[in-house]
Amino acid sequence: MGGGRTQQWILAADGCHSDAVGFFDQPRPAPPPQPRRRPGPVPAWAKPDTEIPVVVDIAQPVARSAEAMIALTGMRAYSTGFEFELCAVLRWAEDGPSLPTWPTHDPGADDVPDRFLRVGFQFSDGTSVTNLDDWLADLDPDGSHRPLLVSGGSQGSSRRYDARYWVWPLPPPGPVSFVVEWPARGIAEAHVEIDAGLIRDAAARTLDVWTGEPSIVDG
Amino acid sequence: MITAIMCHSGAMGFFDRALRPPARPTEPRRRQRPMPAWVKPETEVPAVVEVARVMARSDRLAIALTELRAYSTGFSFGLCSVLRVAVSGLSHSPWGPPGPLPDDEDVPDDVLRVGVGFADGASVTNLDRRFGGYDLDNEPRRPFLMYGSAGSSGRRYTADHWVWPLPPPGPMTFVVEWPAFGIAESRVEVDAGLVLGAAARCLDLWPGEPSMVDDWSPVASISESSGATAD
Repeated sequence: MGGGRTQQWILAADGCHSDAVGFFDQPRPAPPPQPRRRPGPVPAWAKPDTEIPVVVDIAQPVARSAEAMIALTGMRAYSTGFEFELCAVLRWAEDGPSLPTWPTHDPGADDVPDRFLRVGFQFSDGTSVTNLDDWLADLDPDGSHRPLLVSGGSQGSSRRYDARYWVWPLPPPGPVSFVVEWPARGIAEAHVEIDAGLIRDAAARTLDVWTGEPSIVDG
Repeated sequence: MITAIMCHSGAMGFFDRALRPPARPTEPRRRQRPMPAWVKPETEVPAVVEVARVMARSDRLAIALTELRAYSTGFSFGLCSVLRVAVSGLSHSPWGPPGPLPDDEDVPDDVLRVGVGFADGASVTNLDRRFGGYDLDNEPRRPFLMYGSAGSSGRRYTADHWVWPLPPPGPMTFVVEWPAFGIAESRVEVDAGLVLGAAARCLDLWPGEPSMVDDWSPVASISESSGATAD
């Protein structure tokens, strides 16, 4: 992965603003100057179709306010990346239609709605990825210069929302931080730290669904 | 090693109050009762059991049991099926409909049959009932199977299923059959102890705020002879 930019962000432990730029507030890297291309079949950054992933047991609460909690509910490693799932649960169910948690956010737009739940990862090499990034603009036919975080579906009720994401590539060794922020629900930027070794070790044990043999791990 | 840092949003600024909804709704609330036990818990983070096992392969498709997730009252299990040959385009879905099934006995071949059996002999399949939703008023026969979330690409299909209640100790069996894809009835056995042990590790995010559902049951009458009713 490229980029040696070190990102400084400070955990707002008491919900107050600090002078440092928040993880989700800093300007996202500009996309490289290339025309937007439609990726071909089975691009290098796509989730492997034939692998049975290996579970990474890291489910835990991540952040809370008086009215909402966010938790990591699951993670699965593939040979080239990983899926993760989170849930957001309100203290009380809301009347009306299902929890309108993820209003559409136009990547690259200046205004991100407060109701939009921001998620992202900070890797040990200084790179990062968030669900505010315009991942389509970053794509290259043979891969991507930057990590990708792609939404993989979600469902919700009047009290709980579950969402899945795909992240490419595997995180470099060392600590990786999972970061969230949900302004409309009073959740200031918060993070939990995970040892990337747990994900990388799991990624080395995935199985091919056809052979039952270990998938080839791309060094 | 995992370190967790909880961020509490503490005192809000003077001008932040507009962001917060009222602490309680001011209008009279509908009568409510606890959500029935056979509904997947809304406030729990399940504990996972890794059981990745290929259940069956044909010339067209392979299907695997991918993981179990244990809650306090039941568990969910994941199935993943992969076509041998990718299907290009999205106009034709190779997967059988997971929705309501016909009442008669001729279940189409392209419907994936899914079943779970407990060590005490009790079992359930997705042909036993329609996956139209939870019946909040009438306790279902045990075990209860409910179709959950699903996703598909051109080649891969994943589906999550919910089972109530937790299984008794002993071997439990997962069964699939998919005639249209050449998958004969196939089963895999899992020790229910794995699920029971994991269930003790699930986490309730709002232990003081159980899930509630509107209660439309008739109000009790104090004295039938007098004909009086009371709230």
